[in-house]
Amino acid sequence: MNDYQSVEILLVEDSHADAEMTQRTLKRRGIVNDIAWVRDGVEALDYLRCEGSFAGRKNGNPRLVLLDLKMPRMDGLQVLKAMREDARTQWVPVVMMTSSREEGDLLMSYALGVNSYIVKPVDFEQFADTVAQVGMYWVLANQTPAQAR
Amino acid sequence: MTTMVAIERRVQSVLLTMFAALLVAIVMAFAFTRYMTTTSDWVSHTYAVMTTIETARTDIAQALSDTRAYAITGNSAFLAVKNRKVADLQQQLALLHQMTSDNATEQAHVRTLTTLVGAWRLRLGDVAHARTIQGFAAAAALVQKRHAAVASEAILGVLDDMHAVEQRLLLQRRSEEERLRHIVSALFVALGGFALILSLIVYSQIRRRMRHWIEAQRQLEHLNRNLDQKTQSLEETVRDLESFSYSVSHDLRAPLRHITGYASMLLEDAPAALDVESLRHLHVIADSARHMGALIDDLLAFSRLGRKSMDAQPIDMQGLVESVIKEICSARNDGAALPVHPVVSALPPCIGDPALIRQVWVNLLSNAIKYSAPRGAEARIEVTGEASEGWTRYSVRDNGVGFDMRYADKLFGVFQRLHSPEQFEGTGVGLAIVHRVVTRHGGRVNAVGEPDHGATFSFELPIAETTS
Repeated sequence: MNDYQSVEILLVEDSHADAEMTQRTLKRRGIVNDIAWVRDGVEALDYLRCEGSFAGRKNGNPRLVLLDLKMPRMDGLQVLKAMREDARTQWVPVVMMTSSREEGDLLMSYALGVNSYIVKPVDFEQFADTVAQVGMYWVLANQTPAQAR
Repeated sequence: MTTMVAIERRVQSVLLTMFAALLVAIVMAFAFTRYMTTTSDWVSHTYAVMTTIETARTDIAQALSDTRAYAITGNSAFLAVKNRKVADLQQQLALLHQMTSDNATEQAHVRTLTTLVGAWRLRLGDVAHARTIQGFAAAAALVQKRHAAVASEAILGVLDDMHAVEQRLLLQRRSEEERLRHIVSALFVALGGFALILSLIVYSQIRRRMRHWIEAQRQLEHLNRNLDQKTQSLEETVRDLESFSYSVSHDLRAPLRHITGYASMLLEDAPAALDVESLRHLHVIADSARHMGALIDDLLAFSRLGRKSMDAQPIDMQGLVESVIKEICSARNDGAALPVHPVVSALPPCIGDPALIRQVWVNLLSNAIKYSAPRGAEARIEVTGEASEGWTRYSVRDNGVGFDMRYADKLFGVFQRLHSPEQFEGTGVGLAIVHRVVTRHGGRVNAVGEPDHGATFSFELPIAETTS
């Protein structure tokens, strides 16, 4: 794939099980192999800014950020806000993957410039299909401006 | 309330009596005052009569003295004065006659006077004549003989009598006047007393009313404060519930997904390693988790109904029902055609929240389709509607498995089911949502059924104002 991109998907997810299920689906269905997984908002921003424990990583933005909403330390909405305020990450596609279908969360996410908002289905088959569709669309089909990379 | 009315009536009757008494007192005072004025007039009249009597007396004395002056001097100027005085006296007599027309005694006196004055005039004439014709000596002799003086004294005597009568009348009338004055004074004092008592009663009533009113006001404020507190605590409860349902939607869903997820992964990875029974157990785990997910979703949908604000507007029910049927068709998992297509007759429009009423139709029609499915090709569903007397009524009738009317009261409760999940899948929230939506619109729901002979679910909505 592209040399200047370290990973294709940054998965921000505090639940080990959800992260495992997501990664397994994307790999098993042959959509993406290169997935970075962080457990909360602080780690996510560190990753994106190459700071903290990610100071040494290869520069470049992921093609997609899969962002959970409710996380310890810093939640998804705060991460989204920080990303949109930072010129380096302003254009990186962000898809909310959450259990919440609360109108307030939806409104806030769209107000902060989310690219897509997905409610995680309870059923695993549906969950896997949804994750596959998201990966397929945003990583393989979608085009992003050069500044996003 | 009834005691208030009774008090009101009593106060009214007391006030009415008081006003009547006051009115009578005022009329009496007026009448007495009028009467007193008349009596005063009579007193003045008596004074006038006495003055006239005095004038007559003076006239007599002057006429007599002028006649004597003429007898002494023979100056005819005195004679002229005497004649004028006599004319005056006669005028006074006429006046007295007129003034005492109401008094028989005085009239008799006046008549006597007229006769006496006639005689007296002649005697005065005799003296004057004697002076003119026979000279001073003859006239002096007549004067000496008291020719005219005796007649004068007779007149004066009668005038004295008249004066005495008038004096008595005057005394009577003045004492009458005095008596009236006392009565009127007493009446006015009584009037003042009445007015005072009346004012006191009115004042005390107003004070009592004010006290009642202030007390009621205080109670109202107290109740309002209580209500405010209750509203506040209710609002807190609602906020708690909201955060609870939020955490339910987020926190309970995740572990369910993990259960189904890991069960599925196990099914994917190790089907060969598991025996048939273990595989069945895995499926049961996955199915139960899915069912619990559906329960949570429905419960949240139901609780959101209570908070959603109503947006009442006219609804084309016919169009709505047809679009709901189309939606149910396209949402079928297997993509197969509906086993039975509902027959929709003409439906009257209604006023309501389109999204909520839509949910009512979705639930009722889904139920009808689900529970008539065992009939296969024989299944029938009819949707009808009618408008009458302020209500629009809609019904969904099917010839499905029906239900026992003994359990009809359970139908609209949350999580109440009349069938096992093996017979018909579902969470038991659909009809509870129907009930809640219709009730929030100020309407009513009704269900009629018989086991194996179908069921009819109806709801009525008020045509006029919808309430939340």
